[in-house]
Formats: sequence, structure tokens, C-alpha cells
Amino acid sequence: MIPNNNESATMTILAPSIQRLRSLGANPAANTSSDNARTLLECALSLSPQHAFSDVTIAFLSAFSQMLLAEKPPELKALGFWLRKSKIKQWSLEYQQSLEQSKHSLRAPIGNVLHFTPANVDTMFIYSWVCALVLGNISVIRVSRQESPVKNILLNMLNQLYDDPQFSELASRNVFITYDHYSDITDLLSSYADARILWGGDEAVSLIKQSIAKPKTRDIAFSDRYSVAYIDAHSVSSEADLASIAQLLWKDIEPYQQQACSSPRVLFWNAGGLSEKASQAGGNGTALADVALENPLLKLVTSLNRLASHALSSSGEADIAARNNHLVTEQLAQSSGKVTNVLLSEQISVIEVDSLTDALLKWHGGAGLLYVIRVENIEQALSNLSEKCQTLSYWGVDSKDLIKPLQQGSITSLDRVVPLGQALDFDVIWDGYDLIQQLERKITVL
Amino acid sequence: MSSFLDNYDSAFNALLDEDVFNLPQSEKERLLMPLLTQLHHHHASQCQEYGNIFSQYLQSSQFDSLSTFPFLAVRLFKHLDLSSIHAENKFKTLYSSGTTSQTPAKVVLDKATSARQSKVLVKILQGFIGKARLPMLIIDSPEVINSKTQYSARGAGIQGLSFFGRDHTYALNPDMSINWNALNTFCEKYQDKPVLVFGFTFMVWQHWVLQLSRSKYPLSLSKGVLIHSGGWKKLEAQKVSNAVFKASVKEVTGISKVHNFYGMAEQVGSIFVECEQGHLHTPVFADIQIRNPYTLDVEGKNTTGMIQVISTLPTSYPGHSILTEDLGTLLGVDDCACGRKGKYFSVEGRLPKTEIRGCSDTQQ
Repeated sequence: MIPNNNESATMTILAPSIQRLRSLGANPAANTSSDNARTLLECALSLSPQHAFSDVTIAFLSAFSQMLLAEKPPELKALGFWLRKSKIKQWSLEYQQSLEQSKHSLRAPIGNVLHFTPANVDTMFIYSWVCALVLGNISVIRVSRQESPVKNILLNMLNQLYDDPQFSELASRNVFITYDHYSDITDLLSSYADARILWGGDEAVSLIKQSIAKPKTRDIAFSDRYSVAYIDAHSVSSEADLASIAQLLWKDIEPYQQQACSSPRVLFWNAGGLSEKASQAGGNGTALADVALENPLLKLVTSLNRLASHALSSSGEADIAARNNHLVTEQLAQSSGKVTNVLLSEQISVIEVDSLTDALLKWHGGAGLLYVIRVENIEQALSNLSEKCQTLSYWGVDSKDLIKPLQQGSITSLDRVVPLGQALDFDVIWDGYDLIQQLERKITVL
Repeated sequence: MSSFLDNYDSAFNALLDEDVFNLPQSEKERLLMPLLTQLHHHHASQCQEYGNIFSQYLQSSQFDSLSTFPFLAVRLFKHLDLSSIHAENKFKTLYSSGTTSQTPAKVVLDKATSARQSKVLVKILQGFIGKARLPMLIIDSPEVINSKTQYSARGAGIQGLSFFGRDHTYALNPDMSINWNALNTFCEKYQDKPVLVFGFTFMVWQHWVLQLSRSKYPLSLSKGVLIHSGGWKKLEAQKVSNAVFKASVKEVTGISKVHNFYGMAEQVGSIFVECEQGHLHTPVFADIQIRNPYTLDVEGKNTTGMIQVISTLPTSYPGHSILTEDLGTLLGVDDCACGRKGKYFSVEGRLPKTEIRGCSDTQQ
């Protein structure tokens, strides 16, 4: 249902609270009910930007980080760690150094940054915002309307910090809102924006882009992506290795029900030539370890399944529809005839396929489902990837050995290649963009 | 038809000759298993997707119990075109009534399957409304079957049931208001005579019972039978239980014989009708099993789980064993107080939709 575009949808200001925002001096005269929130936003967007890495910003982020580190959910802890004081200080130092090194170039915040943040990763709106904040920009952050406990915790924390008088300047310049997407509010905000960060799927991005911004507004758009893992089984030498691979893989799969673009959905398993070796070795009476490592892939997914069961029993939040959703994906995948085997179908579902298709990716609903493709080498894995592939996380191979195949000209996919277990670690360079560079202006002085 | 169905017709006709609700479960399964085995091998050989999904079963596989018999997830009918016939034998395609945003399920029928569906529907319903063709009041607007664009499950349901009636009268206008002219004419003509009333549960409630009660003009159809189907979800939202539904129907129409039935577009014909005790019954042509949503293992009595529906009817599409996304409970076997044999059960609602939270939902 797409309501008339002229219709004014309601907008809710989430942080700072509307009372706090009003008390911050942004035109208290404008008290005309429904347009009140809009007027307050327009006032915020008319303020002047601040200095990059100001003391207030560093103090704010450090207080925020401490609150986050005290929380239980792993995604909040991870965010707290990313914002730790030493990291921000380091960031600030690098910024200062770059200013000193380039005598003829100044750096200035771009101005007003509009963030449209995704629902699938409920901490993403903070990552996106912090990149703009540290540079001194003014931000309006539109968060998803979807209910999420993690999102509520974050907004409560922000409101708590915003109430502190020392953060007033920051509170009036960084406003978190939510509203229905089909509305003229996007038009209004876009007319003020110097940069728009558009997270979300292809459809959502196209929709937002219909709202006209200033001619020089920078659009930083992130589209639908998927990610993969690559494991070189030749480097597996013990059960302990398999257990640690399972841990790392689970770390990349568990958060956000595997719905983040960076969570691997496909596992490339390189055990090329291994089975022959094993049987030859077995004939010569080799160590027990080799015999015990028969079928390491099955062992790996079995321990992954154990980790999933364990996580479930400790959280107590079993999704009653998950098993059926997996069954649907399994049967859809099998129907194409490309499946060799459903390797495992319990807490997690592991489906061996011989190649990756768009349909398989479309049917992947997350929540602990992996397609496994056996390959003989990294080149074979890479040849399976489409331009929608974002992250490859790897195990058992040296990153140096990955650079060469990646440099072989025709790679149109992959924006990140990271060790297994780090797929979800946020970096200011994302989907091929350097967010910091995108959110500032360089001023040349000769 | 494939060679796997050589004995199918005779076995199916033997079922048709049985009393619909008179076979004890063990005997019924003894008759069902060979039929289901033939259907499985037929569809595995004729429908490529079905064959691929169950390729681990050999052509010689015999299935001796329902609990080990393979089943297809119902959502596959939305994503795939599952057909076991050549295109030229296609008689009609049935679409489930999905909301506009959803892909509807698609079911391909040939003449033989379609005829079987009608025959079985007649056999089952005769057990509840008798053999005479009754004057029939349809709680819907005639538009729903006149629409040529799509053969919807709602239209198909009405057409299927029309066999049982004569002097078909539609009680609603296209805007879902009561067509008082038509309704009054029907009620004057058949006041306190046996009539058949049919409609979808929500339509019956929202557009008939509620409108009638507002009009303070009760009908007197005391010898009528109301047959209705289509799920309780919307009524649950209004906190209307089956008991409230029945009491209200009686109050505003005089009808005391009310039978809900559970059925779906993917298995038209072999429906599960509510008896006088309020239990849904499995006819001889069909069966159900309850499966644990977390393990998909078969559950026993009095444990709620996902409903697997089994039907011996479909040869044109592989819909003979389907795991639905409905939740239900097996209440008993062979021992319902109404006297009907076989399994009886209740339907509790639907598996909650898990949101697929892809990247594509900044829109939410």
C-alpha cells in the first residue's frame, strides 16, 4: 500500500526526547502540533557543524562505550569495543597527523548527513552515525520502525547521555527519528542533506533516491549483498582445529540471525586431493589422528550444530518457525537437482550444492543455514561469486596467498577479505567506500 | 499416467466404496499405504522437482507407515510450478487466495484429479447434510465466481459446494453489504425448511452474522445447515470463539447445525469436517499427522504441532503429502463420541511468520 506522496506521515523523534530538543533552544516558538517535530529538525539542520574529534565528542563516545561494554548482548559489547577510548584516541591522533602532514589541504565536515539505516542489523545505525559524528557533522538518523530490544537499549542510552548538560551541543545536532518511508519527510530532509547514507536493500535505496537532494549532495548507497567463507581443509590437523573453526564460523553466523550482509551464507570447502592422501597414508599405518579426521566437514558442521543448540538452550528463545523455514529452503534447493546432499538438518541446516545460483541465494532465509560447495582451490571459489558478494572470510590460508588470485583482473565481486570470525567487524571502509573520506570536504590552500 | 499408477484407480475406487468415516485407523492405513506409495513413485517419475527432492528414495521403496512417508513443505507450491502432467492435459490451475503482496500457491489440475475432488467432496459432505439437493444460500457476492481473471480458491470452494444445492442465492452485494432483496426472497420461500448455507468463516461472521444482528431482523432458517471454512485468524483477532460463533449464528438465523471444515487449495476435495462434538474428522481418503515444529518428528495425542495433511486424490500435482504451516492437535483415534472412526483433531492457528529480515528492509 503506497499512500499518496503528498500525505504528511507522522514522524517520531526518538533521541533526544522532543522536550529535550525543544529546551536546547531550537525555536521554542514553533509549537504548532504536527509540524512541531519537523520544525525542530529543520532547526537542527540549520546549526553549524563542529570540530572534528572535539573533546566533547571523545568524552561522549567514551561514556557511551562504557555503558555498552556493561551490556550482555554480544552485538552491544562489540559496538562498545569498537568505540573504546583508546581506539577513538588513536583515530583522533591519526586525524591530527594527517592534518600536519598535508600542508596545503584542510579537512572540514561535509555538513548535514542523513542516515537511512537498516532493520536487519540493529546496531548499524550507530556505526553509520559515529563516522559522521567524529568529523563534526550534523546528523539526522532515520531508524527502522521494526521493534528490536537492542535498538531500544541503544536509544535509551543515547537519551540518558543527551540529558547531560555537557553534551547539549551534541544532542541538538544529532537527532534520531523514525517515520514511515513512503512520506514527504524524506523530501524535506533531503533538501537539507549534504550527504545521504543509504543502507538497505536495492528497492529501499531506489525509493529514497527518488527524493531530490541538492545537486552536490553525496549519496553513499549500500545495496543487497551476501557473503561467503572459505576454508582450506589442508590446514586442518586436529580435532581442536575443527572445534576452533566451528567457533569462528559461529561467531560470524550467530548475530542478527545471520541476516547481516556480512554473515557468510556459503561455505567453500577446499579439501581437494585430501581423501586420496588420507587413504594412502592409512594404508601405510599412519597416526591415529588422520584416521579420526575422516570426514572433517561433517565433524565441523556437527560442532557448529552443537554451538547453535547450546546458544539456543542458554537464550531460551527458540524460533518455532525456524525448522520449517530451513525445510523449505532445503526442499527448494533440492528441487533444482543441483544438490548432492543435505549434510545436516537439525539446529542448523547444511546443504551441499555444486554451484551457487541466484535462486539459492534468494531462498536463503538465514537463522543458521549454510550452503556448502566443495572446491579444489581458491580460484574455483572465486569463480562462483557474483558482484553482489561482499565479504569473504577465510581460514587455513595466508592472506598473502589470497592477494594474487584477487588481483587476477576480472574480479567484480568482494569488498572485504577477512579472517574467519571477523566477518561482522565494522570498519569505516565498507562496501568499497571510505566513509570518513565521504563525510568530509578537503579544502586546498596553496 | 505413469506405469506407477497401474493399480491406483482400482485401489482408489475401493476407497470410494468404503463408508467415509467407518474404517478403524489401522485398517485405513493398510489401504492408504499402497496408494500413497504408488502416488509417491508416480510423482517422483513425472514431476522433476519432486523427484529431485526425494531422490534418496529408490524406485522400489515401499512405505509401510505414515510416519516415515515423505512430505513436501507447503510453501513450495508458492515458489515452484509443481506438475506431474503434460501441459496439454492441464484442465485448470487453482490459485490460493493469498493477499496481494504474497505469491499465491499454484495447483495444476487435470480432468481426472478434478473429477476425483468433486466425487470425494460429495461423499464427505453427504455424511453431514444428506443426499438431497437443498436450496442453497451462499454468503458471498456472485462476483467471486464470475471473475474470469483467476480461478481463486474462494471461487473454487463455492463452485465445489454448489453441487449440493439448487436455487443458488447469493446473500451479499459486491460491496459486501447484504443483498436484502435476494435474502428476503430466499428466506420467505424456504422458511423453516431444510436449506444449505455456505460461506467462508470470516465472510459469514463479518458480513452476514454481524450485519444481521445490527439489523435486529433475525431470520428463521431453523432447519438449515451452515457449512463454513477458511480459518479463524481474523475471528480470533476479534476474540470470537467457535462457541460464540455458533451461538450467534443460531441467534440471528435460527441455524443450529453448523459445521466448520479444514481444507486447503493444495488439497481440494479431501476436507476435514467438524462433527457434532466440534472435532475435525479425517475421511477414509485422507489423513493427518501432527509433527513437532522443532524436530519435525511425529507427535502423539494432545500435543500441538504442525499439521501434515495426506490425500490420496492428486495425480496431476505432487500434493498427496504436505506439511502445512498450520498448528493443530490430534485429539483421538477411532473413539470420538460422534461415532466416526479414524483420527480426529483440532486446528489451533498458524505457525508465526518469521520475518525474513534481509538487507532489503530499510523500509520497515
